[in-house]
Amino acid sequence: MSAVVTGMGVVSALGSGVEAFKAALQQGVNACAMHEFERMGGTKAIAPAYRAVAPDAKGLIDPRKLRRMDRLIRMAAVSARQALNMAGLQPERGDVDASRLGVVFGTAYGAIGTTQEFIDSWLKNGQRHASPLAFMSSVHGILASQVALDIGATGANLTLSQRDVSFEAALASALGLLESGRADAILVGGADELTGLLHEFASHFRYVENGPSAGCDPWSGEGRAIPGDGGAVLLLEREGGPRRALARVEQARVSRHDTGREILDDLNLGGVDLATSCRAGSRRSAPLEHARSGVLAERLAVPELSYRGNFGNFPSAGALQAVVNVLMLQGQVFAPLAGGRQRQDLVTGIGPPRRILHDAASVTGLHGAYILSAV
Amino acid sequence: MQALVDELKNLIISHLNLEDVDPATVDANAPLFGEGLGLDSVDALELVMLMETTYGAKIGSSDVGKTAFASLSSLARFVSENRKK
Amino acid sequence: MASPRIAITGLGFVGAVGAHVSALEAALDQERSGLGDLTLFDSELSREYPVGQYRGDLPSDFAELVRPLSAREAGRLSRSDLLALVAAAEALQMAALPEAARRGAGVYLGQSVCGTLSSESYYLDCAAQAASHGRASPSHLDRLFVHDGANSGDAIAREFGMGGPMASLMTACSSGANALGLAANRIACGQAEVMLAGGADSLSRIAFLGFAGLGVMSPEGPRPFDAARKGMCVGEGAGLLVLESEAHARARRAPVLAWLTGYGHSCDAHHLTAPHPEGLGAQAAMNQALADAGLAPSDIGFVSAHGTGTLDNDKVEALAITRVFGPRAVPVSSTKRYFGHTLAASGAIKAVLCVLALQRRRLWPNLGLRTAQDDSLDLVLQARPAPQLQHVLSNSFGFGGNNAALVFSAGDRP
Repeated sequence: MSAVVTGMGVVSALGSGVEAFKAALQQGVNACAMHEFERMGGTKAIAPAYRAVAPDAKGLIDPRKLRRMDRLIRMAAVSARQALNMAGLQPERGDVDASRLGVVFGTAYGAIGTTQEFIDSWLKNGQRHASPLAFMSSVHGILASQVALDIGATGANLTLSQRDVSFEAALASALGLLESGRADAILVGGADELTGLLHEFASHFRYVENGPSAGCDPWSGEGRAIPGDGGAVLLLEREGGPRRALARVEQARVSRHDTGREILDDLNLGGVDLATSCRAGSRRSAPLEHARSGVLAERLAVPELSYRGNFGNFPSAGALQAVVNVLMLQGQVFAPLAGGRQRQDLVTGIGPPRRILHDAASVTGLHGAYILSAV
Repeated sequence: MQALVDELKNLIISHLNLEDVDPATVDANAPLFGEGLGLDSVDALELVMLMETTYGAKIGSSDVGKTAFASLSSLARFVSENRKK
Repeated sequence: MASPRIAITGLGFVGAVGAHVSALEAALDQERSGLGDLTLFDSELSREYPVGQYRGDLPSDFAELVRPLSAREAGRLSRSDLLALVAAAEALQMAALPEAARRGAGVYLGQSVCGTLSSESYYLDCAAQAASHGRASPSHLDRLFVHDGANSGDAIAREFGMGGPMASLMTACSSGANALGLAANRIACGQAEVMLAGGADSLSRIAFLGFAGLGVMSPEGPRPFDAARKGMCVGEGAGLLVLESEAHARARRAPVLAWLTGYGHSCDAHHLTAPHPEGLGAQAAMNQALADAGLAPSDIGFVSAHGTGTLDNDKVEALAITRVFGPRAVPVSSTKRYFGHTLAASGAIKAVLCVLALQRRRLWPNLGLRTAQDDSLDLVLQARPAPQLQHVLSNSFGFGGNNAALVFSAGDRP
C-alpha cells in the first residue's frame, strides 16, 4: 500500500519554507558558516555549522502558543503548518476528521536543550524548585504533542528516536498507520537542535570540525563532520483524496545493518533511477558510507547523491532529504554541494528521476530506507 | 506597593515569555488567569516556584494560591506580607 | 475493521518486586508492595517520597539468563539498557524461538527516561567542573551516548542478533503500550512474523525531581482511585513480550499464552500534561481498541487501569471507563502500588499482568485503596477468581494527552 505526499514544510540553514529551500538548492547556496556555541562554564566557541534560520511563525502559529515553544518545537510546528498550507488543508475548518489526523515525529536528541535547562533549574534553585514547565517540555514526545496541540490533531501521536534514521523510522510507522486504516492523514517529520552542550561534546571528541571550513564534502572521506540542525515535515494522505499528490511513498523500513539481513532486498527496487543517501564524508562515517555505497551498487546501477553539503549533517536530516527528493520527483535535479562547490559533474546527463531509493545508516548499526516515486 | 506591582509584572512577563504582552496595558486588578492575562495551570506551577525562589514567599495550598493569584495587586499584597528575601 | 489477532508466546519482567515473571506473580498473590527508599542516587527529597526501585543486581541477573558481561560492556550500558536486556532475555527464552525466527524478529521498545540516570550525572560532574575551573573537560563520551532513546532497543537487537523492524517509541507514560500496539501492527502489515516489544525505564533524578516539582508525588505511595489520594510514585522496570503472527505460532506449535487482539491510540490535543477533563481521548482509545478486537464493552471481564494515583488521572479515567463500559459494569484495578509508576515500562508490565490474569483466571486487588473517590467503578478490593475471563483491556496515558489502550484475549489454557 502506498501513501501520497500532499504538502511539505521545512526550516533549515537554507531558509524557512520550501520556496526558500528550493531556491537555495538551485543556486547552490553554501549555508555552512561560523557560529557561536556556548561552552559549559560560560565561555564561547566559534565553529562551522549549518545552523537553521529562525523558524518564521508569522501568520502560521498564534503568538500566544509560541511562548511555550522553544526553537526546536518551533522548527517542528512551523514546518507542520507550512505543510498543511501547501496542501490547502485547514484542520480548524474541518477539512479532515481530527481524530483521523495523526502526527509522527523522529528526533534523536529531542528536547535536550530544555532537559539541560531543567537540570540547571535545580542546580540554581535547589532540588525542591525544579522548573515544572522545563520538565514537561523536556520529554522526548513534546514535538508531536505540541504540533497536535497547535492544530487540534486528536489521532495517533508518536515520537520515535532512532539516531541517524529517526525520520526514516517515523516514516515507516506513519505508513503502517495509514495502511492499517488507523489514520487518513499524517504529518510525519524529523527535527533536531544543535545545542552548545552537544557541540561541546562533539568537538571535544573530535567528531566535528573546529576550524573554518567551506562545508561538508560527502565524497571526501577525510576531515570531520560539519553538524547542523533543522526540521522538516511531509503531509501523507491515502491515495485518491481531494488534494494534489506531489509524490508517492511506497515502502519504508528500519532495522539493523549488522545482522546480515539486507532490508534493500525487502524493497521493490524495480524502476529506481536515482539513490540518495546520508553520506557526510567524515573520516568517522566514511567506512560505513563506502560499505553502503557498495551494497547499493550491487543492486542498482544508478547515481548516488547526498545533500549534506547543502543542509548539514544531523540525525534527523533525513527529513530534509525527503523534501529534496519530492522536489526532484517534480522535475528538477539539484547539483549537490561538496566543500562549498556545486558538483555539476554528478548530475550532468541525469534527467528528472521517476523513482528514488533513499538509504540511510548510522555508525551505531541502524539502517533505514524508503522508496518515493513520481505521480 | 506600586513598585512591587511593576516588579512582579515584568518578572511574570519575562519568566513566562509573554512576548506578545505590552506591560503598559496590563491592569493590576485584572485577573491573571483565564481571560485577563490568560495564564493556565502550567503557569500556576511556575509562579508558585517563582514566588518562592525570588521572594521566599511560600504558597502552601491551592486555596492560598487562588487568592494570591487573583490579580497582580493581590499577588503584590501576598508577597509583601510573606516575603523572606 | 478488526485486525488479525497476534499470539503472545513469551513474557519478561523486572521491577521493584523482583526479576522474572514469577516475582511479579508472587507479589500479586501476596499483595506485597515493592515500594521503598530511593538509594540509587542521593537527593534531599529521597526520604520524602517512596519509589519502586529494583533491589537486585542486573548484570548478575543477565549473567544467569544469558552470559556474564565484561566490565567494559556493562560500563557502556545504562540501567535502562540492563533492565530491558534482562526482561528481553526472559521473554525470548520463554518463547524458545527457532534461530531463524529470532534473527528475523524486530524490536519495538517504549522509552522515556532512557539512559539519563548516567547522562545526567555526567552532566552534573561537568557542570561542577565548569563551576570550579571555568570549563568542563568531558572525559568519556559513552556516558552521554546512553542518553539516546535508541540505545536499549539496539542493545537487545545486537545481543540476540535480531534483524527485523526497529523502533523506540517515546510517548512518555504510554510508550510501552504504543510499542506493543505498533509492533502488532508491523506483524499485521506482514513486515514481520515475530516482534519483541515492550518498554523499559530506570529511575533518574530528572524523573524523580520532575514529578516532585509538578507536585504530583505522594509521600505515602499511590492510593489509586482513593478519595484521599495524594499522588503517584515513580518506579523503574521493564516488561517485554514476544509477539508472533497466528500462522507462525501455530506452524511451530508454540503455546499461545494469550492473544493481543486490539490496540487503540489517540491524543487529547488539550494540555501538556493534564488529561482532557472529560477523558475524550481516553474514551476514543478504549473504543478503538474494542473495535480493533471486534468486541463489545460487555465482552471485557477486567480493566487494568492506568490509575497512577494522581488527582487528575484517576478522576478522568474513572469518568472515561464509566462512559465506555457503564457504571460499575466491569471489574477495575490499578496495580501501581505493587511496583510504582514505571513510566515507559508501565504499559508493558501491565500487559504481562493481563496475560497472567487470563492464564490464572484471577484478578488482583487495587492495592492501597481505603475509601473510593466515588462509586462509579467496580474496584477489585480483594483478589478474586474470574472463571469466565476471556478478554481484558489495559489503559496507558502519557504527557500531552497521549492515550493508548490494548485488548488481550485468552490463549491456549492449560
